[in-house]
Amino acid sequence: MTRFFRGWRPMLRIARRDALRTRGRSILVLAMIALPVLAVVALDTLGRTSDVTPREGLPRQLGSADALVTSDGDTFAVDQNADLSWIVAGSAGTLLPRPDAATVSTVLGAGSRVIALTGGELAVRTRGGVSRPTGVELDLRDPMTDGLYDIRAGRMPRTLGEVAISVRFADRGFSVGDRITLDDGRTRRVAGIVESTGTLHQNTVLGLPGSLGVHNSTAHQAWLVSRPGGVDWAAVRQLNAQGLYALSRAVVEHPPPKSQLTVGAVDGSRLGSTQIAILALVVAMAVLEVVLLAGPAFAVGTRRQQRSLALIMATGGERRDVRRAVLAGGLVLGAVAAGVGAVGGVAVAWAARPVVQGFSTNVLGPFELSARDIAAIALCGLVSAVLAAVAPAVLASRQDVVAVLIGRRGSTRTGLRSPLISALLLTGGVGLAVIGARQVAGELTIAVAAVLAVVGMVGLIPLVVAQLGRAARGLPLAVRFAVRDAARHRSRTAPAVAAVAATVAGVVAIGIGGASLTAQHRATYTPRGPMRAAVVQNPAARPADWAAMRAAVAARLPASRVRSVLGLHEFVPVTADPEGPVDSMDIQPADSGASRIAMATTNSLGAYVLVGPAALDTLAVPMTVGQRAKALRTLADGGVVMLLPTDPGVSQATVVKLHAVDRSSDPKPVARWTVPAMVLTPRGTTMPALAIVSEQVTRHAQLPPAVTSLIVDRVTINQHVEDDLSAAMSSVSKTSTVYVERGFQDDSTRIILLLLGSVGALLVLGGTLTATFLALSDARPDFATMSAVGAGPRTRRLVAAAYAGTIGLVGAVLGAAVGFVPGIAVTFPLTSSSWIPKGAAGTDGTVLPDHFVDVPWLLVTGLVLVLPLVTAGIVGLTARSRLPMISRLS
Amino acid sequence: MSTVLRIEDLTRVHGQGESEVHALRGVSLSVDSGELVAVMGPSGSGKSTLLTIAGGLDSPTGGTVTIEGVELGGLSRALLARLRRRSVGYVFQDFNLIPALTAAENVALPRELDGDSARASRRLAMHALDEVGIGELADRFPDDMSGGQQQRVAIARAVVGDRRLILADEPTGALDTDTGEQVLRLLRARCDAGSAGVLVTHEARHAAWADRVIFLRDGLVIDETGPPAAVDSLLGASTTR
Repeated sequence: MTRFFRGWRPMLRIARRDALRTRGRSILVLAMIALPVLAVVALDTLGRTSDVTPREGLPRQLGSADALVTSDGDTFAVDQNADLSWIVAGSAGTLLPRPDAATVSTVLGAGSRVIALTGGELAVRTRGGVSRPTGVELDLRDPMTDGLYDIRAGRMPRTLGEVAISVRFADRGFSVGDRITLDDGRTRRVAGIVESTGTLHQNTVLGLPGSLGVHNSTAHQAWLVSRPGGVDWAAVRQLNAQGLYALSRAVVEHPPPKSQLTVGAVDGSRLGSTQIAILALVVAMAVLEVVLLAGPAFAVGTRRQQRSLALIMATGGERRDVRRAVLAGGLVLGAVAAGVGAVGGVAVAWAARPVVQGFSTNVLGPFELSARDIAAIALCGLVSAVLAAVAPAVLASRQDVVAVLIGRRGSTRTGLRSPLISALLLTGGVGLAVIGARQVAGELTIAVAAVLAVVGMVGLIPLVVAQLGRAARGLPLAVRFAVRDAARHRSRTAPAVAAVAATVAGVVAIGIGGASLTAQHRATYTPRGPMRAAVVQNPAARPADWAAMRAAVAARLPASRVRSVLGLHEFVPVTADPEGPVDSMDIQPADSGASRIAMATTNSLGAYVLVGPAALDTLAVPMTVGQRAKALRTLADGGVVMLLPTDPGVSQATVVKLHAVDRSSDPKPVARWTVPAMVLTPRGTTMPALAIVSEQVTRHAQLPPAVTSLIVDRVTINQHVEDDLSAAMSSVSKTSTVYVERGFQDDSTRIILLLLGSVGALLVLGGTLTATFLALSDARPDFATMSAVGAGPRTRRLVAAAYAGTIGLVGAVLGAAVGFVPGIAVTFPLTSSSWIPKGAAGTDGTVLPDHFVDVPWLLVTGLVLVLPLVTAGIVGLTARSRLPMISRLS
Repeated sequence: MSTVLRIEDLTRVHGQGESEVHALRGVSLSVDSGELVAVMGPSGSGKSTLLTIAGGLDSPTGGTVTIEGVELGGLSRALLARLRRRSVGYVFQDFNLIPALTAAENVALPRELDGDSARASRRLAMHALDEVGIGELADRFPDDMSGGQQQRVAIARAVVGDRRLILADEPTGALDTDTGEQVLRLLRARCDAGSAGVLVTHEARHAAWADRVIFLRDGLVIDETGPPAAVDSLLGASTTR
């Protein structure tokens, strides 16, 4: 063992000195390894910091109390685990009296103290209408509440006439000393502005118990408790027996043994094998990418070291020692880079906390470092560096000592080994992708296939580069020189090309998958109302409410057109009792046989069955003049217009009247009759309604039509108008909703593609530039020769541009070609949708395909053509034009 | 005979202050077409500096260099490069062929850099390679050739396109005796055909191929002889001083 280390010691010393001597190249390698380590360490640390553990979260939820006891209104015994991440609502056993503060006090015994915390929706009048913040009633004067809220201005409320409001609610135009008006007309003085210590940007109004009037059916009842000695697990179980959940400081800090927990409550959240496989794939690809990016630097470094390596052999070293000398370079640079990256990552994470907080409403936890994670990430960096040095080390150990020592520049040809294995890997990857495409959930198979194909491709790149060198004969001088030089120095070129190719392959594959998924969403999108119109729904509205809502719309948007949509409610109560028996209606094509056509239907206008010819214009269904005339005729004849994804070719429909003893019971058909029918086939895969029926049908069924929604159009409804309309509708009736149909909205895909493109471009640029500038510094003697025979200053720039273009283009073309395979393959499991009826039309009116393939050509051509050419241009413009001099003509 | 290269009172100082080195201290020399001049001297005498300045690769601290009537002093870098493509050919000790280019492409390089079409350059290159006797090796890469063959390619490159001034810096240094003799014979033949040649060497045997020998020491011409036979005695005089 000592012998082993003794063999390494001089090599490490040489490597360290060499790294210091060739600073430029050392910094390049350092950056390539340190930057990914830094990024991953920073992400890991930020992730752990923003993740609030139950223990870290205690002060935010308990303040200074010993426990928070919650009732969700159940009156059966409940079950929970220590940190309330697993709860089972009671539903069986003995019916218990509804728990109250006395119940809690009784369980906790003498010496305990209980204060109520009641939360519920509140209505507060604002300038724009009615706002609905959360009202919290809690005696904030009690020391148990210390730590729940931070005071930003003013003080906590002390009387029933005072409230505190959250920062976000204050942004609506309230400040300390103002008065707010509650729904009941009473006013409260704002005593202070506060922020929760757990969750930011909440809309909250706080007051003393009884001051806000949140005791209604939606209220949430809890108690903060203190008890000498804390609330132990036994006490928690006793509270559970009374239908109460408890988050106890003592229990979270000292959780009960698993044997005391219900089987289901035992934490089983370990990584599944699929997640481990995905993690392994991601780590493998990341290490591969780093190895490929850093590889050229080591290849060049080794050639610069050639002479000292030959001297090691000449003075009695073995091939093994030469290998060690090069590997030691990887070890030294890798260790420094891993260290710099780890420290830098922690520093970046520390500095980035305010930025991260800006994106999250949850208050970040304490700054948290995981030594295990950081060590693992740093180790990956170190391993990458050593792996990047392996190929140059093996090549260096095989060099001809004599040729090097007498100063011949010597051939640096790399053997073309193992193209067979690489070809097999590539073929295997393609085959596996085909298999994955046929599986229902083949995404993981295809990911494995992609890695195999990329590794195979990487192995074949030296062969491709060599072939290119042979084919360069007819090219212009600069390009010919660049291609031939690249082919000669394959140990430097191949990793750079491979890094570019692997990146492009990944980006292209993910890009095709993402774009195809978006194409599917776009094609199957179902509008929920006429384009650009607002649909106002309100399931609980009475006829008077609709009139008030129409009036409110007219008041807000005088220029708009408001139309009422008539329809049948899904359940029409037979008696005055809303919990009593209900009638409903179903409509089927008359001669479609026993089975109904498989389809999805929504009640986008508040009803599955719409009534009257006016409904034809309120649905976003495109139809021809002939179809429209026929539909109007059918409705006039007392028939129905059915909405189906495909036309089964029927002219009659069966109307079924159903009856059920209440809403949750199975409805039974009570009447069935046939009426004339026509079929409209709306675009999209989800039907906006089941059918439009004539008034005769509703009369025959004795089901009264009612207003089910309002359609507001003929004005521009932007986000601001929509918010305004929402507030206006809410102030009439709390249960109203406003939806504006804006067509298919796709922002996330565009952002993802942009992000992918940027990361890809950065890596492609990095790989290309590194290899190019290493090649340029390697080709100094050649440039000197060119200068001696009369090359102008432009030549070096042209060669530099040609070099960058060659590496970028070859890598990008190969990568895109390989990336297409998993990219296309993954569209099958991603977008094959058995639920779409055969022959259904998409939103563009064409028949939907079995699966969707959309290649993001902008991204692909950008990466494959534009980026390499632009890189070449930039390199050409920025490269030093001055040619080196042959300093001494021997 | 016309004068191809004229050097007058050439000085060159490397470095500044304490590390100042006077590589040349007022060297004058002229070479006519058809003439081969050998420059001799011990290491550090300024032979190579003289050659780099003569070819416009380096610029002098003082004095003038004129090639075919054009004074190099006032020329831009681009014009100097054009001069090297059209008028001056270098031959180096270690050949300095570009390994990524074939023999023919190496020879064609000055013409291609000058803007000739690839085909026309290749035709001239093939002609030059035939002249040095290795036309059949045109498509080989330098790595696949012997040292003698490589130096022939280098000479072909130095003369391609009818250049009138050949500057050779120890062209036989890396070659065995026989091959070296052949290379010098080639150089002599080019000069007999009308080129002007400057040959830097430290072997008296090689200087015997020249029409004249000038002897440099510490940046000064210490002697200039017509008949090369006098070289041996001169060498002896300088080394025993």
